Amino acid sequence: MSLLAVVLGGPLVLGGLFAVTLVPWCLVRPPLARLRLLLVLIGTTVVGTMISQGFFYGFEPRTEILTVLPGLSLCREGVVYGVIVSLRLLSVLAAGALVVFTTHSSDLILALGKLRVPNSFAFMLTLALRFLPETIEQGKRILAAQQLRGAGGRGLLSVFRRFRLLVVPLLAVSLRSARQVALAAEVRAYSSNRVPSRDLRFATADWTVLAGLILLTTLGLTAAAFGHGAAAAAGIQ
Amino acid sequence: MMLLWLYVGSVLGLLAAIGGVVVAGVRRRAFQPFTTLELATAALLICLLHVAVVPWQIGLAKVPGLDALVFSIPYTAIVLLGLRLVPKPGTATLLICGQGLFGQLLGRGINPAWWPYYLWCALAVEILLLAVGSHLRTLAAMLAAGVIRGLLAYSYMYLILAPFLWQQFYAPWYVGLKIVMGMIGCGIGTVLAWRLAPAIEKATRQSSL
Repeated sequence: MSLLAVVLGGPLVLGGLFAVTLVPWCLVRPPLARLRLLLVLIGTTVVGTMISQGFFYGFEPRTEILTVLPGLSLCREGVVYGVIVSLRLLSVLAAGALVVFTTHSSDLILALGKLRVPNSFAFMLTLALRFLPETIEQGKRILAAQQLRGAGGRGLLSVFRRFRLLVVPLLAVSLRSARQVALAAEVRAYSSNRVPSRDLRFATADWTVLAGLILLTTLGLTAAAFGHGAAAAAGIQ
Repeated sequence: MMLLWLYVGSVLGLLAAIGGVVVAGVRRRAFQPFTTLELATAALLICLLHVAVVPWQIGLAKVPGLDALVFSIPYTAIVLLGLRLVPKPGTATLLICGQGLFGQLLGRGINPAWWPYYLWCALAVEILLLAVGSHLRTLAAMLAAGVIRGLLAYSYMYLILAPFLWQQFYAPWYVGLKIVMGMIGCGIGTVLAWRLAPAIEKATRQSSL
């Protein structure tokens, strides 16, 4: 999907690509909370990219539709290009997020092993996954305790002051937890030369998805070769 | 087509730079294996990096121009604190590449096209650490590490990766502004890390089971 997002261009073709990535999302029926998060991400990505491309579009022609400051104006071509870039971003994001949503984290880490990522690295990522909920919970607890003691406030400076106040106790508490986990791993004779207890194998569904993706990629590359490529759509040589 | 060659060139350059760093590290006998505790500490820092960075992906980081500044402050602070806590060659690679992969595992999906970006950012810090050999004990060394990472991260992102992966092009002055803002953010993050490091190192020394 990343390859197609790179080689294809034009709002219709990229819109089609994004629509294709949404089909499996409909099939897996994500919970409402995750769907809401995905929609927020989609919304902020589209709006943010449209605004940034609209104001800071680097090509000609530029049809100005709103002037904010002298030399800083929103241009139509930039906004349209922002939509195209957003569709490209969202196609990759939706496809990647689908893999993460439908695959257990331990399987993803096993897949990293297949991609020749070192074992110690995979071990570290497994630990990071284990630490994540605990760290968020500890962070919330420390923030709540600090707010009870009057360390609140609004604005950007306050955010950074709170970050400074949060980091020291959070790291101190979490480092203790890390020490315990490391000790437990060593007691269980952990070494980075371990062999996984199970192997990832392709099931029928995986072969079907792979065949579908190969077909889609072939179609996409053919479309790119026949004038729907990214460079042709952007007018870039 | 030029963008593809630029990207491929960056990957080849990366491989050459990794080769150079490995040779230099082996000659200086700088490489030591990581202990389980160091791996666990790095895992924890990756987790903290993820927690510190995710909230900015929806809020202020969407304001054009401000994003690079806002994003890089907590990121740089935690990476540099990590380098102070685990002062070994390879820690920057563990943290920066680890956080990138962790983000991919949790949200965007595994995408090897991004790996050169993480590796370039990490390698810039590794090269500096090999060169100064001080393990960031001075503010100048920390500032150099923070700002070099920022310069490389934002230049690579806006000049090579974003144009190649998303065909995302901006006016050159805006790209320059983003790079400068990113470097300023990295500088602020470095000062934050410098001020926090003694307290955290003290807490680490005193922490016991």
